[in-house]
Amino acid sequence: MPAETTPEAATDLDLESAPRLGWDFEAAAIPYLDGLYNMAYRLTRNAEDAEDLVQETYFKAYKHYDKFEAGTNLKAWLFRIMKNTFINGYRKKQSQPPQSAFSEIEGTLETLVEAETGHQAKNPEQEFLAKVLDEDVQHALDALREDYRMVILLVDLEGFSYKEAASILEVPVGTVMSRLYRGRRMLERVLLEYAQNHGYLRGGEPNKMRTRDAAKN
Amino acid sequence: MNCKQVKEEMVFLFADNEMGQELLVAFKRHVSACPHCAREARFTRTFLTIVRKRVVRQSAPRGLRSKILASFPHRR
Repeated sequence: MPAETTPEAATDLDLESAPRLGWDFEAAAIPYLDGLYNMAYRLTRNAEDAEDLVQETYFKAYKHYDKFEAGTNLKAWLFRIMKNTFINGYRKKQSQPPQSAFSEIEGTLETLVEAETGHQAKNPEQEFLAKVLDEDVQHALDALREDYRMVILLVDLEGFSYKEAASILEVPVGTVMSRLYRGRRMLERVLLEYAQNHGYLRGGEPNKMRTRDAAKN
Repeated sequence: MNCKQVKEEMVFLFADNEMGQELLVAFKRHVSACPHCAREARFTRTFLTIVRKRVVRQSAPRGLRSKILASFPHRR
């Protein structure tokens, strides 16, 4: 853990005059501990770094709590601090997941989305959705490009709105949307491939499946 | 609203509850007339439900909360 996160470093806070603010912060911010930890864990992909990241996030938030605008979104504010802390300190330490498979996917994405008609499989997407495993989803998510992963975590796992995610990531709402949609399509594609490799699905190529033309109901 | 827009964007806006009233009306009109897009919208919703449900949430380790509380100056 970086030295600045130790309790000693916190003594430069001007909380002698305002201990009340400290209690307020604690009461308001601690309920988000599990959510922040979960996010940290998915970002760092290990428990030790996740714990450090959460502690550092709380430390920084505490220190700057006087700048938090009362009545605005505290949860989003805390997640923004975590995002910046992660980007500035932890990302460098992360082992990079294999990217090759994903650039390949990205390349075929457009054709995939454009794919049309004619395949006679029977409702394969329902079959796929029913059989894909927890760890498949987890693995596919962990391997996603970081900017895509981050926005999926915020919207799909933490339930933030597009606008909130945009304020956390400090990007325009349109950027949130394009990252979110591309990320989800990649996730979908990867899960389809898992499903086929594991033999959950019989025959057919993923891009044919993606047409869903034989689906009924 | 055309099928390309529906597939690339609208199905997500719909699944995320991010559609304004006007857009929602246009979307519903489109999918009620276009079975392909209706299927697409259903699939997207199911897919996202699966993703949201199957990712196991990690709870903070037991000691973390007290570690954080102990680091707050107002408690010392």
